[in-house]
Amino acid sequence: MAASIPFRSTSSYSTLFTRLANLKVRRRSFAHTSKALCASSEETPPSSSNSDGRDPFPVFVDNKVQHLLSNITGFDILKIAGPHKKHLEKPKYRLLTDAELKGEMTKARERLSKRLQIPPYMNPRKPNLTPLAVDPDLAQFDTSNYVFTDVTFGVKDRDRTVVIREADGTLRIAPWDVRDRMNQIYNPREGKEYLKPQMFDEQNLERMISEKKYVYILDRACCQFEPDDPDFIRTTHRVYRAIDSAGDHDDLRSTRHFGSLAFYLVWHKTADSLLLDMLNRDLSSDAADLVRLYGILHPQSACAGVLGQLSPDSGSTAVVQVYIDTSSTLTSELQLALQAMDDAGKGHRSGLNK
Amino acid sequence: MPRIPLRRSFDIIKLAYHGCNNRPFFHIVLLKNISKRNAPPIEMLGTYDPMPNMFNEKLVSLDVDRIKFHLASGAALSKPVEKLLGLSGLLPVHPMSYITAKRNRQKQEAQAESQAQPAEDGKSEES
Repeated sequence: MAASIPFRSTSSYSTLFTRLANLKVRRRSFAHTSKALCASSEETPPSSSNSDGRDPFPVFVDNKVQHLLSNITGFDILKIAGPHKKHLEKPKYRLLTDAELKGEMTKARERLSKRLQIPPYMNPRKPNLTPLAVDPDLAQFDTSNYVFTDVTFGVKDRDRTVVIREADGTLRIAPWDVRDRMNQIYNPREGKEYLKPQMFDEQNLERMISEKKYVYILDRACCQFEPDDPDFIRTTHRVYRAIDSAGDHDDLRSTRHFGSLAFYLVWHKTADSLLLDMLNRDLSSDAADLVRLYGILHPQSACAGVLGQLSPDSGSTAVVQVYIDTSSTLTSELQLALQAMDDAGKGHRSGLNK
Repeated sequence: MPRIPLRRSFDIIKLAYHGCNNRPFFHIVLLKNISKRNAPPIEMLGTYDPMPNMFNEKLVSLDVDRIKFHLASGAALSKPVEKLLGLSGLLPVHPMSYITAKRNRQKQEAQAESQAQPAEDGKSEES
Protein backbone atom coordinates (compact mmCIF):
# COMPACT_ATOMS: atom_id res chain seq x y z
CA MET A 1 0.00 0.00 0.00
CA ALA A 2 1.09 3.52 -0.67
CA ALA A 3 0.31 4.45 2.91
CA SER A 4 2.81 2.05 4.37
CA ILE A 5 5.77 3.85 2.84
CA PRO A 6 5.61 7.17 4.72
CA PHE A 7 5.01 5.30 7.98
CA ARG A 8 8.49 3.81 7.78
CA SER A 9 10.15 7.21 7.99
CA THR A 10 11.00 8.06 11.54
CA SER A 11 10.80 11.84 11.24
CA SER A 12 7.04 11.96 10.63
CA TYR A 13 6.21 10.19 13.89
CA SER A 14 7.15 13.03 16.16
CA THR A 15 4.50 15.21 14.55
CA LEU A 16 1.98 12.40 14.30
CA PHE A 17 2.09 11.63 17.98
CA THR A 18 1.40 15.14 19.03
CA ARG A 19 -2.17 14.04 18.30
CA LEU A 20 -2.21 11.70 21.23
CA ALA A 21 -0.39 14.18 23.39
CA ASN A 22 -3.05 16.74 22.51
CA LEU A 23 -5.67 14.19 23.34
CA LYS A 24 -4.21 13.71 26.79
CA VAL A 25 -3.93 17.42 27.37
CA ARG A 26 -7.52 17.90 26.31
CA ARG A 27 -8.65 15.24 28.72
CA ARG A 28 -6.78 16.86 31.56
CA SER A 29 -8.15 20.26 30.76
CA PHE A 30 -11.56 18.65 30.68
CA ALA A 31 -10.98 17.35 34.17
CA HIS A 32 -10.57 20.92 35.36
CA THR A 33 -13.69 22.15 33.61
CA SER A 34 -15.61 19.18 34.93
CA LYS A 35 -14.63 20.15 38.44
CA ALA A 36 -15.82 23.66 37.76
CA LEU A 37 -19.03 22.33 36.24
CA CYS A 38 -19.56 20.01 39.17
CA ALA A 39 -19.88 23.04 41.39
CA SER A 40 -23.34 23.59 39.98
CA SER A 41 -24.56 20.15 40.91
CA GLU A 42 -27.60 18.88 39.08
CA GLU A 43 -28.66 16.39 41.71
CA THR A 44 -29.69 18.45 44.67
CA PRO A 45 -31.04 16.12 47.32
CA PRO A 46 -34.52 16.90 48.56
CA SER A 47 -33.31 17.80 52.03
CA SER A 48 -30.65 20.15 50.69
CA SER A 49 -30.65 23.63 52.05
CA ASN A 50 -27.10 24.08 50.76
CA SER A 51 -28.05 26.00 47.67
CA ASP A 52 -24.83 27.96 47.28
CA GLY A 53 -23.58 25.14 45.00
CA ARG A 54 -20.07 24.80 46.40
CA ASP A 55 -17.85 21.82 45.57
CA PRO A 56 -17.66 19.71 48.75
CA PHE A 57 -14.43 17.89 47.82
CA PRO A 58 -11.85 20.61 48.68
CA VAL A 59 -13.65 21.16 51.98
CA PHE A 60 -13.73 17.42 52.63
CA VAL A 61 -9.98 16.89 52.11
CA ASP A 62 -9.10 19.81 54.38
CA ASN A 63 -6.91 18.59 57.25
CA LYS A 64 -9.07 20.10 59.98
CA VAL A 65 -12.21 18.48 58.57
CA GLN A 66 -10.50 15.11 58.20
CA HIS A 67 -9.25 15.34 61.78
CA LEU A 68 -12.73 16.12 63.11
CA LEU A 69 -14.32 13.34 61.05
CA SER A 70 -11.82 10.72 62.21
CA ASN A 71 -12.31 11.93 65.80
CA ILE A 72 -16.06 11.36 65.75
CA THR A 73 -15.76 8.00 63.98
CA GLY A 74 -14.71 6.24 67.18
CA PHE A 75 -12.39 3.28 67.51
CA ASP A 76 -14.14 0.16 68.77
CA ILE A 77 -11.59 -2.58 68.18
CA LEU A 78 -14.13 -5.36 68.47
CA LYS A 79 -16.24 -3.77 65.76
CA ILE A 80 -13.35 -2.98 63.38
CA ALA A 81 -11.50 -6.26 63.79
CA GLY A 82 -14.63 -8.26 64.52
CA PRO A 83 -15.35 -11.71 63.13
CA HIS A 84 -14.75 -11.94 59.41
CA LYS A 85 -14.14 -14.75 56.95
CA LYS A 86 -10.57 -15.83 56.42
CA HIS A 87 -8.62 -18.98 55.72
CA LEU A 88 -8.34 -21.49 58.51
CA GLU A 89 -4.89 -21.58 60.00
CA LYS A 90 -3.40 -22.65 63.27
CA PRO A 91 -3.08 -19.89 65.86
CA LYS A 92 0.45 -18.78 66.62
CA TYR A 93 1.57 -18.41 70.23
CA ARG A 94 4.50 -16.25 71.22
CA LEU A 95 5.98 -15.30 74.56
CA LEU A 96 6.32 -11.54 74.83
CA THR A 97 7.55 -9.13 77.43
CA ASP A 98 5.24 -6.32 78.48
CA ALA A 99 7.06 -3.84 76.26
CA GLU A 100 6.85 -6.13 73.24
CA LEU A 101 3.15 -6.70 73.87
CA LYS A 102 2.60 -2.96 73.99
CA GLY A 103 4.45 -2.59 70.69
CA GLU A 104 2.34 -5.32 69.08
CA MET A 105 -0.83 -3.61 70.29
CA THR A 106 0.16 -0.26 68.81
CA LYS A 107 1.05 -1.98 65.54
CA ALA A 108 -2.36 -3.64 65.48
CA ARG A 109 -4.06 -0.33 66.15
CA GLU A 110 -2.18 1.30 63.27
CA ARG A 111 -3.17 -1.56 60.98
CA LEU A 112 -6.81 -1.27 62.00
CA SER A 113 -6.92 2.50 61.69
CA LYS A 114 -6.17 2.07 57.98
CA ARG A 115 -9.53 0.33 57.66
CA LEU A 116 -11.22 3.52 58.79
CA GLN A 117 -10.11 5.62 55.82
CA ILE A 118 -13.13 7.69 54.84
CA PRO A 119 -14.27 7.43 51.19
CA PRO A 120 -14.08 10.83 49.48
CA TYR A 121 -17.20 12.95 49.31
CA MET A 122 -17.47 14.37 45.79
CA ASN A 123 -19.92 15.84 43.33
CA PRO A 124 -21.07 13.57 40.49
CA ARG A 125 -18.80 13.56 37.43
CA LYS A 126 -20.03 15.07 34.20
CA PRO A 127 -20.10 13.28 30.82
CA ASN A 128 -17.73 14.53 28.11
CA LEU A 129 -19.80 15.02 24.97
CA THR A 130 -17.30 16.84 22.72
CA PRO A 131 -15.92 14.43 20.11
CA LEU A 132 -12.15 14.37 19.43
CA ALA A 133 -12.64 13.92 15.69
CA VAL A 134 -15.67 13.73 13.44
CA ASP A 135 -14.99 11.83 10.20
CA PRO A 136 -18.09 11.26 8.02
CA ASP A 137 -15.89 9.59 5.36
CA LEU A 138 -15.21 6.79 7.83
CA ALA A 139 -18.89 6.01 8.47
CA GLN A 140 -19.78 2.31 8.20
CA PHE A 141 -16.13 1.18 8.29
CA ASP A 142 -17.36 -1.55 10.60
CA THR A 143 -20.61 -2.56 12.25
CA SER A 144 -19.21 -2.32 15.79
CA ASN A 145 -17.53 0.37 17.83
CA TYR A 146 -13.84 0.05 18.64
CA VAL A 147 -12.69 0.81 22.17
CA PHE A 148 -9.00 1.66 22.57
CA THR A 149 -7.51 1.48 26.04
CA ASP A 150 -4.07 2.74 27.01
CA VAL A 151 -2.42 0.02 29.08
CA THR A 152 0.94 1.72 29.46
CA PHE A 153 2.81 0.48 32.52
CA GLY A 154 2.10 2.58 35.59
CA VAL A 155 -0.97 4.42 34.32
CA LYS A 156 -3.55 4.74 37.08
CA ASP A 157 -7.17 3.85 36.48
CA ARG A 158 -8.34 7.41 36.94
CA ASP A 159 -5.74 8.77 34.46
CA ARG A 160 -6.19 6.08 31.84
CA THR A 161 -6.91 7.22 28.28
CA VAL A 162 -9.84 5.33 26.81
CA VAL A 163 -11.16 6.41 23.41
CA ILE A 164 -13.96 4.95 21.35
CA ARG A 165 -14.25 4.98 17.53
CA GLU A 166 -17.91 4.76 16.80
CA ALA A 167 -19.33 3.04 13.72
CA ASP A 168 -20.22 6.44 12.23
CA GLY A 169 -16.54 7.45 12.24
CA THR A 170 -16.59 9.71 15.30
CA LEU A 171 -13.66 9.42 17.69
CA ARG A 172 -14.54 10.41 21.25
CA ILE A 173 -13.40 9.98 24.81
CA ALA A 174 -15.19 6.91 26.11
CA PRO A 175 -18.18 7.51 28.38
CA TRP A 176 -17.66 6.84 32.07
CA ASP A 177 -19.43 3.47 32.13
CA VAL A 178 -17.21 2.19 29.27
CA ARG A 179 -14.11 3.48 31.07
CA ASP A 180 -15.13 1.69 34.25
CA ARG A 181 -15.64 -1.56 32.34
CA MET A 182 -12.28 -1.24 30.57
CA ASN A 183 -10.53 -0.58 33.86
CA GLN A 184 -12.10 -3.72 35.29
CA ILE A 185 -11.06 -5.75 32.21
CA TYR A 186 -7.46 -4.58 31.98
CA ASN A 187 -6.88 -3.91 35.69
CA PRO A 188 -9.33 -6.11 37.59
CA ARG A 189 -10.02 -5.35 41.23
CA GLU A 190 -11.15 -7.75 43.86
CA GLY A 191 -14.73 -7.23 44.96
CA LYS A 192 -15.67 -5.26 41.86
CA GLU A 193 -18.00 -6.70 39.24
CA TYR A 194 -17.76 -6.14 35.50
CA LEU A 195 -21.44 -5.20 35.34
CA LYS A 196 -23.24 -3.23 38.03
CA PRO A 197 -24.70 -5.73 40.53
CA GLN A 198 -28.51 -5.87 40.63
CA MET A 199 -28.27 -5.09 44.31
CA PHE A 200 -27.92 -1.41 43.41
CA ASP A 201 -31.16 -1.32 41.43
CA GLU A 202 -33.80 0.85 43.04
CA GLN A 203 -36.17 -1.83 44.36
CA ASN A 204 -33.46 -4.22 45.60
CA LEU A 205 -31.71 -1.35 47.33
CA GLU A 206 -34.92 -0.33 49.09
CA ARG A 207 -35.42 -3.91 50.26
CA MET A 208 -31.90 -4.10 51.67
CA ILE A 209 -32.31 -0.75 53.37
CA SER A 210 -35.51 -1.96 55.02
CA GLU A 211 -33.51 -4.97 56.23
CA LYS A 212 -30.99 -2.50 57.68
CA LYS A 213 -27.94 -3.93 55.86
CA TYR A 214 -26.38 -0.48 55.79
CA VAL A 215 -22.72 -1.37 56.23
CA TYR A 216 -22.95 -4.16 53.65
CA ILE A 217 -24.45 -1.82 51.05
CA LEU A 218 -21.91 0.90 51.72
CA ASP A 219 -18.92 -1.48 51.67
CA ARG A 220 -20.09 -2.98 48.42
CA ALA A 221 -20.67 0.46 46.90
CA CYS A 222 -17.12 1.47 47.87
CA CYS A 223 -15.77 -1.60 46.04
CA GLN A 224 -17.95 -1.25 42.97
CA PHE A 225 -18.00 2.47 42.21
CA GLU A 226 -15.65 5.42 41.95
CA PRO A 227 -16.45 8.06 44.58
CA ASP A 228 -17.66 10.52 41.92
CA ASP A 229 -19.85 7.96 40.15
CA PRO A 230 -23.47 9.19 40.15
CA ASP A 231 -24.50 5.66 41.17
CA PHE A 232 -22.20 5.76 44.20
CA ILE A 233 -23.55 9.12 45.22
CA ARG A 234 -27.17 8.07 44.71
CA THR A 235 -26.73 4.83 46.68
CA THR A 236 -24.76 6.23 49.58
CA HIS A 237 -26.95 9.31 49.96
CA ARG A 238 -30.06 7.12 49.95
CA VAL A 239 -28.54 4.98 52.72
CA TYR A 240 -27.46 8.03 54.73
CA ARG A 241 -30.97 9.46 54.54
CA ALA A 242 -32.46 6.11 55.60
CA ILE A 243 -30.05 5.87 58.54
CA ASP A 244 -30.82 9.42 59.59
CA SER A 245 -34.59 8.97 59.48
CA ALA A 246 -34.41 5.60 61.29
CA GLY A 247 -31.95 6.94 63.88
CA ASP A 248 -29.49 4.09 63.27
CA HIS A 249 -26.38 6.27 63.39
CA ASP A 250 -24.69 3.92 65.81
CA ASP A 251 -24.58 1.12 63.18
CA LEU A 252 -21.93 3.06 61.28
CA ARG A 253 -19.83 4.10 64.28
CA SER A 254 -16.29 2.64 64.11
CA THR A 255 -16.67 1.95 60.39
CA ARG A 256 -15.15 3.96 57.55
CA HIS A 257 -18.59 5.29 56.58
CA PHE A 258 -19.36 7.26 59.73
CA GLY A 259 -17.28 10.24 58.60
CA SER A 260 -19.06 10.34 55.24
CA LEU A 261 -22.43 10.12 56.97
CA ALA A 262 -21.58 12.99 59.30
CA PHE A 263 -20.16 15.06 56.43
CA TYR A 264 -23.28 14.46 54.32
CA LEU A 265 -25.63 15.41 57.13
CA VAL A 266 -23.69 18.51 58.16
CA TRP A 267 -23.18 19.61 54.53
CA HIS A 268 -26.96 19.50 54.00
CA LYS A 269 -27.65 21.05 57.44
CA THR A 270 -29.62 18.02 58.66
CA ALA A 271 -27.30 16.87 61.42
CA ASP A 272 -29.71 17.53 64.30
CA SER A 273 -30.78 13.94 64.90
CA LEU A 274 -27.14 12.80 64.71
CA LEU A 275 -26.25 15.40 67.33
CA LEU A 276 -29.19 14.26 69.47
CA ASP A 277 -27.97 10.66 69.15
CA MET A 278 -24.49 11.72 70.31
CA LEU A 279 -25.85 13.65 73.29
CA ASN A 280 -28.07 10.72 74.28
CA ARG A 281 -25.03 8.46 74.24
CA ASP A 282 -23.00 10.90 76.39
CA LEU A 283 -20.48 11.52 73.57
CA SER A 284 -20.00 15.17 74.47
CA SER A 285 -16.64 15.66 72.72
CA ASP A 286 -18.04 14.07 69.54
CA ALA A 287 -21.03 16.42 69.70
CA ALA A 288 -18.71 19.41 70.07
CA ASP A 289 -16.61 18.19 67.14
CA LEU A 290 -19.75 17.90 65.02
CA VAL A 291 -20.70 21.48 65.83
CA ARG A 292 -17.14 22.64 65.01
CA LEU A 293 -17.46 20.77 61.70
CA TYR A 294 -20.68 22.66 61.06
CA GLY A 295 -18.82 25.90 61.67
CA ILE A 296 -16.12 24.96 59.11
CA LEU A 297 -18.55 23.71 56.46
CA HIS A 298 -20.84 26.72 56.73
CA PRO A 299 -18.55 29.67 57.45
CA GLN A 300 -21.31 32.18 56.59
CA SER A 301 -23.77 30.80 59.17
CA ALA A 302 -24.57 32.49 62.47
CA CYS A 303 -23.26 29.44 64.32
CA ALA A 304 -19.80 29.85 62.76
CA GLY A 305 -19.72 33.51 63.77
CA VAL A 306 -20.48 32.80 67.43
CA LEU A 307 -18.10 29.82 67.48
CA GLY A 308 -15.31 32.10 66.25
CA GLN A 309 -15.84 34.43 69.22
CA LEU A 310 -15.87 31.52 71.70
CA SER A 311 -12.62 31.02 73.61
CA PRO A 312 -10.75 27.92 72.36
CA ASP A 313 -10.64 26.28 75.80
CA SER A 314 -14.41 26.48 76.38
CA GLY A 315 -16.05 23.14 77.14
CA SER A 316 -18.00 20.99 74.75
CA THR A 317 -21.30 21.91 76.44
CA ALA A 318 -20.77 25.57 75.55
CA VAL A 319 -19.98 24.67 71.92
CA VAL A 320 -23.12 22.56 71.56
CA GLN A 321 -25.14 25.28 73.27
CA VAL A 322 -24.04 27.73 70.54
CA TYR A 323 -25.39 25.39 67.87
CA ILE A 324 -28.69 24.92 69.72
CA ASP A 325 -29.11 28.68 70.08
CA THR A 326 -28.28 29.57 66.48
CA SER A 327 -28.88 26.85 63.88
CA SER A 328 -30.78 23.88 65.28
CA THR A 329 -34.22 22.72 64.17
CA LEU A 330 -34.78 20.29 67.07
CA THR A 331 -34.08 22.99 69.66
CA SER A 332 -36.14 21.66 72.57
CA GLU A 333 -35.05 18.02 72.25
CA LEU A 334 -31.39 18.99 71.96
CA GLN A 335 -31.68 21.33 74.93
CA LEU A 336 -33.23 18.57 77.03
CA ALA A 337 -30.61 16.04 76.01
CA LEU A 338 -27.79 18.48 76.74
CA GLN A 339 -29.32 19.25 80.12
CA ALA A 340 -29.67 15.55 80.93
CA MET A 341 -26.08 14.86 79.90
CA ASP A 342 -24.82 17.75 81.99
CA ASP A 343 -26.80 16.64 85.05
CA ALA A 344 -25.61 13.08 84.67
CA GLY A 345 -22.01 14.31 84.41
CA LYS A 346 -22.39 16.48 87.53
CA GLY A 347 -24.08 13.67 89.47
CA HIS A 348 -21.32 11.33 88.47
CA ARG A 349 -18.66 13.83 89.52
CA SER A 350 -20.31 14.56 92.90
CA GLY A 351 -20.71 10.82 93.41
CA LEU A 352 -16.99 10.45 92.91
CA ASN A 353 -16.24 13.25 95.39
CA LYS A 354 -18.18 11.49 98.13
CA MET B 1 26.17 -22.61 -6.54
CA PRO B 2 23.93 -19.49 -6.61
CA ARG B 3 23.62 -18.00 -3.18
CA ILE B 4 20.13 -16.91 -2.02
CA PRO B 5 20.44 -13.37 -0.73
CA LEU B 6 19.50 -13.00 2.96
CA ARG B 7 16.19 -11.24 3.69
CA ARG B 8 16.62 -7.85 5.27
CA SER B 9 15.76 -8.23 8.96
CA PHE B 10 13.86 -5.49 10.77
CA ASP B 11 11.50 -5.11 13.72
CA ILE B 12 7.79 -5.09 13.00
CA ILE B 13 4.69 -4.60 15.15
CA LYS B 14 2.09 -7.13 14.10
CA LEU B 15 -0.76 -9.32 15.26
CA ALA B 16 -0.12 -12.77 16.70
CA TYR B 17 -3.07 -15.19 16.73
CA HIS B 18 -3.75 -16.41 20.26
CA GLY B 19 -7.34 -17.56 19.99
CA CYS B 20 -8.63 -21.05 19.45
CA ASN B 21 -11.08 -22.61 16.97
CA ASN B 22 -13.75 -20.08 15.95
CA ARG B 23 -12.62 -17.66 18.64
CA PRO B 24 -10.01 -15.29 17.26
CA PHE B 25 -7.97 -13.21 19.68
CA PHE B 26 -4.81 -11.34 18.83
CA HIS B 27 -1.80 -10.06 20.68
CA ILE B 28 -0.13 -6.97 19.28
CA VAL B 29 3.55 -7.88 19.44
CA LEU B 30 6.96 -6.66 18.38
CA LEU B 31 8.79 -9.29 16.33
CA LYS B 32 11.53 -9.62 13.74
CA ASN B 33 9.94 -9.69 10.29
CA ILE B 34 11.54 -13.06 9.62
CA SER B 35 10.26 -14.80 12.78
CA LYS B 36 7.19 -17.00 12.84
CA ARG B 37 3.80 -15.46 13.58
CA ASN B 38 3.50 -16.87 17.09
CA ALA B 39 7.20 -16.85 17.92
CA PRO B 40 8.06 -15.63 21.42
CA PRO B 41 7.75 -11.86 20.94
CA ILE B 42 10.46 -9.31 21.65
CA GLU B 43 7.77 -7.34 23.45
CA MET B 44 4.01 -7.52 23.82
CA LEU B 45 2.39 -4.18 23.05
CA GLY B 46 -1.31 -4.84 23.37
CA THR B 47 -4.26 -7.03 22.50
CA TYR B 48 -7.09 -6.99 19.97
CA ASP B 49 -10.36 -8.84 20.40
CA PRO B 50 -12.14 -8.85 17.02
CA MET B 51 -15.37 -10.39 18.32
CA PRO B 52 -17.85 -7.72 19.45
CA ASN B 53 -18.91 -8.00 23.09
CA MET B 54 -22.45 -7.67 24.46
CA PHE B 55 -22.25 -3.89 24.02
CA ASN B 56 -21.21 -4.27 20.34
CA GLU B 57 -17.66 -3.12 21.05
CA LYS B 58 -14.38 -4.54 19.78
CA LEU B 59 -11.74 -4.09 22.44
CA VAL B 60 -8.20 -3.00 21.71
CA SER B 61 -5.55 -2.36 24.33
CA LEU B 62 -2.38 -0.51 23.40
CA ASP B 63 0.80 0.07 25.36
CA VAL B 64 1.01 3.56 23.90
CA ASP B 65 4.34 4.59 25.42
CA ARG B 66 6.16 1.50 24.17
CA ILE B 67 4.50 1.64 20.74
CA LYS B 68 5.65 5.25 20.39
CA PHE B 69 9.15 4.26 21.45
CA HIS B 70 9.40 1.42 18.93
CA LEU B 71 7.97 3.53 16.12
CA ALA B 72 10.48 6.23 16.90
CA SER B 73 13.29 3.69 16.78
CA GLY B 74 12.18 2.58 13.33
CA ALA B 75 9.90 -0.42 13.78
CA ALA B 76 7.57 -1.16 10.89
CA LEU B 77 3.84 -1.79 11.17
CA SER B 78 1.77 -4.55 9.62
CA LYS B 79 -1.35 -3.42 7.78
CA PRO B 80 -3.94 -4.55 10.37
CA VAL B 81 -1.98 -2.82 13.12
CA GLU B 82 -1.68 0.29 10.97
CA LYS B 83 -5.46 0.27 10.57
CA LEU B 84 -6.03 -0.16 14.30
CA LEU B 85 -3.63 2.63 15.22
CA GLY B 86 -5.30 4.81 12.57
CA LEU B 87 -8.73 4.22 14.11
CA SER B 88 -7.39 4.92 17.59
CA GLY B 89 -6.29 8.42 16.61
CA LEU B 90 -2.65 7.59 17.27
CA LEU B 91 -1.76 7.71 13.54
CA PRO B 92 -3.66 9.19 10.58
CA VAL B 93 -6.55 6.98 9.50
CA HIS B 94 -5.37 4.28 7.08
CA PRO B 95 -6.52 4.90 3.46
CA MET B 96 -7.83 1.34 3.26
CA SER B 97 -10.23 2.08 6.15
CA TYR B 98 -11.74 4.90 4.08
CA ILE B 99 -12.06 2.61 1.07
CA THR B 100 -13.72 -0.14 3.13
CA ALA B 101 -16.07 2.42 4.64
CA LYS B 102 -17.02 3.73 1.19
CA ARG B 103 -17.61 0.21 -0.14
CA ASN B 104 -19.75 -0.66 2.86
CA ARG B 105 -21.82 2.48 2.37
CA GLN B 106 -22.28 1.74 -1.34
CA LYS B 107 -23.29 -1.83 -0.56
CA GLN B 108 -25.81 -0.58 1.98
CA GLU B 109 -27.27 1.96 -0.46
CA ALA B 110 -27.57 -0.69 -3.17
CA GLN B 111 -29.32 -2.97 -0.72
CA ALA B 112 -31.71 -0.23 0.35
CA GLU B 113 -32.53 0.55 -3.30
CA SER B 114 -33.11 -3.08 -4.20
CA GLN B 115 -35.43 -3.39 -1.21
CA ALA B 116 -37.27 -0.21 -2.11
CA GLN B 117 -37.81 -1.15 -5.79
CA PRO B 118 -39.80 -4.37 -5.34
CA ALA B 119 -41.95 -2.62 -2.77
CA GLU B 120 -42.73 0.14 -5.27
CA ASP B 121 -43.41 -2.45 -7.98
CA GLY B 122 -45.78 -4.24 -5.68
CA LYS B 123 -47.60 -1.02 -4.93
CA SER B 124 -47.97 -0.05 -8.62
CA GLU B 125 -49.31 -3.51 -9.44
CA GLU B 126 -51.86 -3.26 -6.64
CA SER B 127 -53.07 0.14 -7.81
